[in-house]
Amino acid sequence: MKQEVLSLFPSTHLTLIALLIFIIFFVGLLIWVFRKSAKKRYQKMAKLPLSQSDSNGERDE
Amino acid sequence: MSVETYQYDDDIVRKFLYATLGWGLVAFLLGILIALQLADWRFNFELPWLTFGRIRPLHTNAAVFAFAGNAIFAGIYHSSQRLLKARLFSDALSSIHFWGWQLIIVGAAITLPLGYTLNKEYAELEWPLDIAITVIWVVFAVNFFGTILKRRERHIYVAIWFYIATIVTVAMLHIVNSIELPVSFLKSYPVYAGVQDALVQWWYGHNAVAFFLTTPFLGLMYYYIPKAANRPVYSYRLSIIHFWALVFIYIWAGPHHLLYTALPEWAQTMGMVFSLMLWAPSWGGMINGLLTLRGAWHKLRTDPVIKFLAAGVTFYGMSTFEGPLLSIKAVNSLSHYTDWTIGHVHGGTLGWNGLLTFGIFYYMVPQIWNTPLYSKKLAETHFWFGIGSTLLYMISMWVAGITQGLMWRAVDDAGKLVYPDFVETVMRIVPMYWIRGLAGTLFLAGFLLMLYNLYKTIKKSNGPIVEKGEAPALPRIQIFGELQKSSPHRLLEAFPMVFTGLTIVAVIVGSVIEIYPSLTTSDYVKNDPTIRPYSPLELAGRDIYIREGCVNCHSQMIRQMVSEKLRYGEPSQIEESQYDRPFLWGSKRTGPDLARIGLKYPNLWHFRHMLDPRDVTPQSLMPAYPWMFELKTDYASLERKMVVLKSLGVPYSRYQIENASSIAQDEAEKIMKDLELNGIESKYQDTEIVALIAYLQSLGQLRSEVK
Repeated sequence: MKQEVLSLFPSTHLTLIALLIFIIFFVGLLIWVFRKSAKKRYQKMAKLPLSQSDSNGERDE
Repeated sequence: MSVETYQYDDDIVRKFLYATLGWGLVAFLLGILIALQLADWRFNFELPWLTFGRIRPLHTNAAVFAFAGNAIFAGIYHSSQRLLKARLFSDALSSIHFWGWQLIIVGAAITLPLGYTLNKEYAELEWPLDIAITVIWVVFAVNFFGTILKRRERHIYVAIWFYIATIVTVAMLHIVNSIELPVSFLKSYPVYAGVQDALVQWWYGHNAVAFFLTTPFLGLMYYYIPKAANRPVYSYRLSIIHFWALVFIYIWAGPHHLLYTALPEWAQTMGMVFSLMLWAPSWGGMINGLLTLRGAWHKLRTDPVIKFLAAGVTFYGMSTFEGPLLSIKAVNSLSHYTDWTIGHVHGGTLGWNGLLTFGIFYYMVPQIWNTPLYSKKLAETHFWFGIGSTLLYMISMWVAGITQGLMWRAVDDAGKLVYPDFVETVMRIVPMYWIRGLAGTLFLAGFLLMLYNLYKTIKKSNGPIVEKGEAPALPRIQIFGELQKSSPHRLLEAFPMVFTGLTIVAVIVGSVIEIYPSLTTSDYVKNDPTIRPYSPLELAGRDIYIREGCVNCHSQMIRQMVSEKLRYGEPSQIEESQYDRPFLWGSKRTGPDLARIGLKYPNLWHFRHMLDPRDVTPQSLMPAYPWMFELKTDYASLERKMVVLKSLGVPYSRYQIENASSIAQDEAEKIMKDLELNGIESKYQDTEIVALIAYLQSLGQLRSEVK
């Protein structure tokens, strides 16, 4: 079935390009996200919405 | 380092909030109206502008672009200012954005009931409104990116990423799908025809769901859940993976709306595989949102805001589980064209977009007006109304969809259809349509409780507060100085423009591979010379069919399945819609498929059927169209229409174009003669019903016999 589907696709080189883009991108993304050095930074980033000590309005929880 | 003081612009947030509530009311009321119309045809009131085919697109546009759209803008403007520590870039642009968007909605509310429509789902609006949408979207983009540039917080929180992806992708989708050639002020033809139009439309349609109803709401989720729970997001890493996986994969999934159609199989398979891949990031995102509540689970009992947000995210999980499921070809063969799809989208809009928006508003109003919510108890009641009615809606539509799908495909031992009469399968599910109407009414009741609750909250406050912020300025030089020392990822995040560029690349890669072959490969659609274009009168009839929105209930695409062949005839072929602008394959069969309706019934049958459907099919749900028997056929515009179509490649001869009007009148005379033989008065000759009959009789009959 795979052969059949592919044989009807008019520009096979596009599938190869897409496959390469995907593998490179997602492997790169995982490596980038799971770097050890990023941990502290991400903790800081995650707190961004909460760090609004600058607001002067009374905020009830 | 100097510390700057600034004021947030919550005035614009309040405006969008009011607009959301007002248009929400309109969208829900319209939803109830069309639900009742399907349960009982009398709710069409025999008024052209209140008929299902014209009101259904108004309902979807109101729900998506007016209700959800204004909610997105309110949430984005509220959260972005705080995340970026800056007032919005320009008050003037904010104002233009707001009033421009409302004007477009008013334009839609006027033109759609009057029948000015392109018949492309969620892109029905005619070309002047398409241009207005583009302009206002650019205003929004400038205002948003301007705010990013003048921010005082160097880091860009992940919610902002989702907003950026929304802005750039929606712009691309809207512009590419709306390329059309005008014939007159409110009539145009798309440049794409047939299968190309189908592919581009569902690339747009699916990603309108992805980038208008999903990514912006995910951004809101990543801001408001941590705020309401006072906990940071469960995993920031997961949110990054969530973002890129969604942006990269979503754009490919559009062809799952066209399974088993005449679309080439490779595109169908691609759409299905990418839809299945979406399970992973969608559920990753849902888990990330829900687990943000860890350590704050007790609030789920006490805080209505958290209740709504958690329920919204849960419905996101349910819808994004169901979506890929429906994209599996075997499942889709049962579910497609049935109410199962309708149940699925309402799980998304009512459950995910609706409940999340309500949660955000229950949080935002007390914040902006600096006063506690008027009644937690009312909000709580609203919550149960909302969740209960959404479930009731989904379940009734599952039952209706699966029942009807099974009845359509039931074949007995002798190889014959068990339910050859289409209307039998409709009769069976009418009770479900009543239950759906009830579910919609309950959802509206909950919404009214919220309106009252918010009104009381605002009324008892001392007016909105002007919230100020203080933060050190972020001098440009400092940004650049730090960048040179820092690692590449810093560069990426400190430079929203680079990031935007990457997002664009991600969405373009998928789009190109999906659509490029259909636009460039000549043998993809061989223009088949044995298929003739529509004759002048058929063309006039087709435009009436488009005006009335017949496509909302009738498909023109016989799928490659045994039961479809038995019921409707040979499966549709790509070439048969090669001149269709727009394509009218449809996505829902409330009535039967019409791809091969031509010459199946005599002219008289159609005449009587359009005047009163119950005259020929006693149990029919279809509205009557008495006005077609009074309005005169628009012969005069045919020549201009054919000139435009010829410029798009339809092989009309010069003779046909120059004599379009008289050829059409001759055709009408011929049909009228046949009707007269059956006792119909000749006064109808130049009315629209004759043109419509000409079109209906041409369906499936455009291929000339090869001798």
